[in-house]
Amino acid sequence: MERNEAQQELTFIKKVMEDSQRTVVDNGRQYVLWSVLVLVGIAIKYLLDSLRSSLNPVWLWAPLIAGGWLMSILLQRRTYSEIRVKTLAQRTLEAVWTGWLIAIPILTLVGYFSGAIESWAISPVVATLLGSACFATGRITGSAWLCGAGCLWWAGGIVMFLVPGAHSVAVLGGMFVLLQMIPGIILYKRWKADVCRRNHE
Amino acid sequence: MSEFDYKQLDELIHSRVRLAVMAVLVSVEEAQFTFLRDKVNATDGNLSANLRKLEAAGCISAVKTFVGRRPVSSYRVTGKGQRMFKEYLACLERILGV
Repeated sequence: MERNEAQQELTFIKKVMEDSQRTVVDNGRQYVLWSVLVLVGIAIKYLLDSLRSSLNPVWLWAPLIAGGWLMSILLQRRTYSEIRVKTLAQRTLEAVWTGWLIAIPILTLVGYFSGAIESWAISPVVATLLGSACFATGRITGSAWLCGAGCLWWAGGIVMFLVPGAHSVAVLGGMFVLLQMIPGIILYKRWKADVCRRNHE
Repeated sequence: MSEFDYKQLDELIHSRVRLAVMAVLVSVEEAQFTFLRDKVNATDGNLSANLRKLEAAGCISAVKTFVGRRPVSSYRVTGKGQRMFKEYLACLERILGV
């Protein structure tokens, strides 16, 4: 084996290894699930407000978050059986979103109950945390638009902190549609098309 | 060129398809057959034959399961495979004098 050939082999190995290490499956199902749950919660909240209901919002959000957790676990188990490759990047991605799923009820429900976080601050807190999770996901998957979505979540968080108002929940809902639900649907369609292509090969 | 002896290179790994398979499997925890096929760009038959050789040599292990009704084969590299791949890389680096 000549020196050039050895160099080519090493370059080839390095490229294959780098490509493989970065492989992750992000099928967007979780994004859509949580967007739908948040939008349902916001719609109920506005309905209760219009009816001048005195129901503590915790009793609205706690079952929604608990239901979301359950459905998330079921979806994750299904995804895990469908993915073709298990990588460190995939595990890191799962850890980022699991961390988010744990942090959200701690900050919103426990934080609210304890009095440490007032109700107006919940929307910007959720937006800021989502920004971190989205940005990390973008970095792990090498997706510039997800990093951009993370930055938009952070920007939304700053705006909602600086300009608190009764409708910051509606702003949060709009951001969920634009930055979670639509990207989630696009990711899901791409993933589904990829699965169909492979099944027909 | 150097005092390099080509016999030091492991013939088992020194095939383009098997080398690519090993490079993929040492970088991931586990990979299915179709993923390897897409990464290596080999035909089903060629990849199967090479995977069997690596499995017979104890470099990789295979697990066969079902996803729904579809049979799925997953592969992962063994400790022996990791060592052999490291030695192969070390051998290449010796040639290059790295």
